[in-house]
Amino acid sequence: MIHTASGVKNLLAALNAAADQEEHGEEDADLVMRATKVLGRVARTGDIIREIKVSSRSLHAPLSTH
Amino acid sequence: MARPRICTTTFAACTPPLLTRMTHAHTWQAENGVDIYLHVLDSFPDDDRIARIGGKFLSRITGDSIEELIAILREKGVSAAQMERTLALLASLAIEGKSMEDIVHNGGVQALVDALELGLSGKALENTCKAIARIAANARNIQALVDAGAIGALVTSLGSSGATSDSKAQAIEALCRIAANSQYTEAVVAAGSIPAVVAALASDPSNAGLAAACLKFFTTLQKNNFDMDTVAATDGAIAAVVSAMAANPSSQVSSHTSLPPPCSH
Repeated sequence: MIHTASGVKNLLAALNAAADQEEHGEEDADLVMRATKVLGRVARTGDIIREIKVSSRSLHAPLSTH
Repeated sequence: MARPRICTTTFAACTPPLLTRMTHAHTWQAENGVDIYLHVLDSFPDDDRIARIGGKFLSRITGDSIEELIAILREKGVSAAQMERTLALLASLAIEGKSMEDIVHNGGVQALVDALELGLSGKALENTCKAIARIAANARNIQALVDAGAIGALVTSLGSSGATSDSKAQAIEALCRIAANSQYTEAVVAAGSIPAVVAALASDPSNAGLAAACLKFFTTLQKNNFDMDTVAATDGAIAAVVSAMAANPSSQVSSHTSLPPPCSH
């Protein structure tokens, strides 16, 4: 069984890092695709969805700036 | 700030590059997953695969909030940042069929069209037009868009102070999808779309996305038997098309040849 909460956070971190690249190549796009597929597969329960959705901010929080 | 603990025992399917990226990631603690994913979508604006899988993913995470998101569009006193985030979410959700239906059924079409007149920032305007364009991708929604006044609002948005090349491209894509229905081609033209699209193309002919949207719009009019001489006779149309084709020689822009050749005039 996977450690879901940690795994979700790590995948979100990877997605954030990929998005933060100054230039986005095919490798970054593939990474986003793979990470999203994994997140989509694990996000089948309320607990995991909450983990993804509100780890520190409410739904109405302003957009993050990078 | 301490880096996040890397849980290498989880997600065994993660590939080495993914794990490498994880070790360099450090900002997730201040974010939530939805914001991170909106950032991802914003960083890959031209990747349809990511837009689609992202829309599906966000629908799973936030699909139950559509009514709430639409209510935010109607609230007074909403901050620009909150409005921008709400529109980014709705645009992302609108690519997924079920969420698109929920947006339509919860009054989202009128709320989005009304939002076009709120003096939005360029990014918010782009996402509003993107959401409308995605809703217009389903032919069953065209009537609702027309009834909500989308045609006039989209044309007006092309000349608004906050408009960017990207927001113009999305607005023109939406107009194109509405005009593709022959029942509404004349209405799109009557709203002054032709000079507005020509002006948009002339404003940034080197922008491939904008140029492709503009030329696709003219091609759509041609397919619906609209007299293309009218387009060609519009001030600056030929020059704008030539500039766009010259600036984008290897893109899809050059494959659109809907206008009559300049020598015919």
